[in-house]
This record gives sequence, C-alpha cells and structure tokens, in this order.
Amino acid sequence: MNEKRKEVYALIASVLGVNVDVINDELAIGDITEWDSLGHMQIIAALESQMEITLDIEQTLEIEDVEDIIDAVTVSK
Amino acid sequence: MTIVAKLIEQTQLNPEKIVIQDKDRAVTSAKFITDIHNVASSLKGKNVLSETNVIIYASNSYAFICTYFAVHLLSARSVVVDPKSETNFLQFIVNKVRPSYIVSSPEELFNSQSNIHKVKNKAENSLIADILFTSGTTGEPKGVALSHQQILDSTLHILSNVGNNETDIELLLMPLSHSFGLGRMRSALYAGTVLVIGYPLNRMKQVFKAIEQHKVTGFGIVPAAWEFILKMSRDKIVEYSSQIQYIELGSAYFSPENKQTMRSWFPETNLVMHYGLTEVSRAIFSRFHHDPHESLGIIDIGTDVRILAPDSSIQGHGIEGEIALRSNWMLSEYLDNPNLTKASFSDGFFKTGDLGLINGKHLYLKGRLKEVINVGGKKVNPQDVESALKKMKFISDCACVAYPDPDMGEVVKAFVVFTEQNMCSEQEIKKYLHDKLPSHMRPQYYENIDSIPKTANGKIQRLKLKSS
Repeated sequence: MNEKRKEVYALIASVLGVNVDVINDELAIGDITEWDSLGHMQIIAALESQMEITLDIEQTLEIEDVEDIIDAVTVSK
Repeated sequence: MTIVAKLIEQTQLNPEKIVIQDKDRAVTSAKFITDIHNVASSLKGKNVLSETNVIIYASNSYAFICTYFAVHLLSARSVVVDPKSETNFLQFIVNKVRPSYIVSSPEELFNSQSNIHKVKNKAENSLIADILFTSGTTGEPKGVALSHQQILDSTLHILSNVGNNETDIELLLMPLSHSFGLGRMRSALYAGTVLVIGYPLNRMKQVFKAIEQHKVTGFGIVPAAWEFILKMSRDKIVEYSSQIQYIELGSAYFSPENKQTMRSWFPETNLVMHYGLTEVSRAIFSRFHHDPHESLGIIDIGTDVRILAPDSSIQGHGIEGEIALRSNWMLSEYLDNPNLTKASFSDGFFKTGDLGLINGKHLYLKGRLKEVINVGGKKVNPQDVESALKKMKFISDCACVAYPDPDMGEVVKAFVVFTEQNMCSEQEIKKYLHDKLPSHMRPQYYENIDSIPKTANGKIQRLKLKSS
C-alpha cells in the first residue's frame, strides 16, 4: 500500500472513529453506520484542513467511496 | 375514506398515471395497487389478521411502501421501525406490540405468481393504522397509536400548507423510518404527486441528477440535511430554484439566517417549516416568505394552541409557558400507558414539554421545559446559552446541560465542538461571554467533544451528555 493511500485510510478511520482495518478502497458512504452524512461532511472538512487540499463542487460531489477520496487527493496534489 | 382507499380510487380514475418513480422504473397507479394486493396476500398467508401489529423494517424502497399500505389494507397496524435502531430499542418494541409478523425484508413478500387474489380493503377510519415509537430525547420509547382518520386529517393539513398536487414531482430524501418521511410519502401519494425514490441524500451527485432527470418540483428535508447539501455543493441547488415549487422543512431548529438564505435562493418557492412532534404531527407551519423568521408559525390554522402556566391555567398573550396543542390528528393515547397519557394532557390539549409564547398571531419557541436549567432559582434555557456560544467563530457546535452544584442546585455545563481550523481556551470563552450573558447563564464547566449527540432528526440528546 502506498503512503498516500495509508494516509487517507488513517484519516478516514480517525474521523469516523473506527479501526483502520475497516477501511478499504471500496468502502462507501452508507456502508457502515459511522459513515453517514454527518461523517461524510467531517471527512470532507478533514481532507481540506488536514491534507490541505481544496475541492471544488464537482470534486466534492464525485466523492462517494474511499477510492474517490484517494483520487481527489492525488489530483489535487 | 382512508389513505389506502384513496389510492385505490385513484387507480379506478386513472390506472395508467405514474405514481412512483423508482430510479429508472416508472410505476403506474394500477401496478402499485396490484403490488399492494400482492404483498397483502402474502401477509394474509402468514396469518396477519385484522387489528394485529406488524413490525416493518423501514427502507426508502418501493417494497417497503407497498408493505406499509398492504398492512393497512388488511386493517392490521403498521409498526414502522428503523432497522439501524439499537437492539434494546427494537426488543422493547417487540415486547410491547407482540407482533403477528415481523417484516425484516419487504422484498420477500412479493409473490411471483401472476394471478394474485385481491384482498378486500378492510381499513376503517376509526381503527388504528400506525404505531410509531418515539426514540426521543428522554426516557423509554413511547408508543404513539394513530388511527386511519388521524393520519388522513394530518395528510390533509400537510397538503393545505405545502400545496403539492397532481402536477408535482417529489423527491423523497428523508427516511421512511420517521414520521417526517412517512408524512411526505403519504401526502405526495394522496395528492397524486409523483414520488421519486431510490436517491439517498448522501449521494448528492445522484440527487442533483434526479432533480434534473425527473424534473423534481419539491422535497422535504430536516435542517441537518440542508447543512449537508450546503457543505457538499455550496449554492448549486440554486440552479434548480425556478423548478422547485415547494420545500417542507421540519423536526429541528433552523436559524433565522438559514431561513433568510433559503428565501433569497428560492424567491418563488413555497418554503414552509412545521412544528410539532410525533404525537401532534405538523401542528403549526411557518411560511418563510410571510411569517417572522423567529416564529414557529401562525396559530389559527388547524391546530388550537394554548400556553399553560405550571398549574395548567391558561397564560395570556406574550407570557411564556408550556405549549399545549389540540388537533383532529393528534394521538388519542399512548399505547398501553394510561398514566403517561393522563400526565400528557390538560383539558384535551396535549402538553408538548416545550416552552413558548404567543405574540399576535404567531407562536414562538423559547426552550424545552424539561431541559431548563435551574441556577439558584433562576431559570436558564440552554438554547439561549448555546446561541451566544455559537456566535464565537471557534465553535462549530455546542450543547448545554444542567450540572449539579452544592450551592446553586444546578449550574450550566457546556459541551463544545471546535471548528477544524481553530480552538480556544476556556478562559477565552469565559472572557467572550462576560458581557454577552448574565452571570447565572454563563457556563461554569466546559468540555471539548468531537460531536454533539443528536437524534436522526437533529435534536440534541441531552440525556446522553448528562450521563457522559
């Protein structure tokens, strides 16, 4: 697993308050109770503040699973 | 006339009319009624009898909607539960209602046979149609039983305020496990509004696609959902302003600033917000384009309102007291709980536990009676302290509760959530509040937490904070 992926996994696990083992590329909003709309908002906010990326509306709307988040982080960097 | 009878009548008048749009599948009125009969037939085969209770695990699916009305068709009672509820909550409901059947997966009730026997509509207005359990913010779950007549009256009241009709197309965004979503589903189908399902709010890209593709003209959301829409898409929703005819909001506090934003973004849309609780659903409506933003709405439409003093005498206009409501569609009693029923009514009016006052023709909310903090005999509404705290740029959310104090009896304790970017010290907050609030209202204790516990409708769960 590359560093960027590890970093994203850790951030999502930390924001949702779940074990990092729960996170995988296919995990999507709604798949676990912790990842509800509030959890999703917190992930978006954490991406912007902790990973210092800026997402436009279209990018934000594209994010539905972990892989989308990794893509957004990669493109933004 | 019951809701299910109305749906059957619509089929006789216009069987080919589209009534539900389930993603890319359009369901005609005739197909809808056939499927309700289909499910009712299956339930009958499982010995579901008239006036027995059927627990249905809610989902925003076509199968769930058919099951809900199939139970009504058999004159059984729908006990709709959120499958994500805690196990002990679900167990409490099972013990309380002793169901004749539990539908955990509505899809399984669809018969594959082509010749389905029609089930006679046995629903009568006086019979109980739904039993809803309030997870609420306090105590053990309470069963609210509503008759077909009460649900019909409630539906007509919603329609008279929201105004959706047979030309509208409504996107269902709120969960059908709660009375808000159920109310929207019923009032859309009753009015002949096409109900669009299959687009959960948390998939915002799909939601916008649905608004465009199905030419959606209205929807209902709770304030937390509005916050989610803003966070995910900023002002993108404005692109659809001209096609949206109505938005119903409800179930939690919505700031005057948010109302103003909505007004400016939707100048031609009927924007209404309801006030009420499961027991007296949608008692009062406020209209953002007409009523003061701070008010809960106008008092002389449909629901009688009284403001009660602690001894249950009626308070005059402008004087704060407990809000009590009386309407045709309010609950008659709590399920198997005569003591709670007796304690909840005063002279035929249901006591809400909310503090409020009437000014002119409008009702204003001032707090929650059971949440009032008694600081040495002075009453503090936690909402007043929270409003002051939320004006600090460092604080994204907060909640205040009573904290035991040997001298004052109780003092205010604040739980605060800081914004992602900023934090500040307790001293800084105290300094900020010094000239904003009188001393008895200023929190004596602070605790920094990650998020404020709230119900699915966005209400603060203060009991959880008190026990933390």
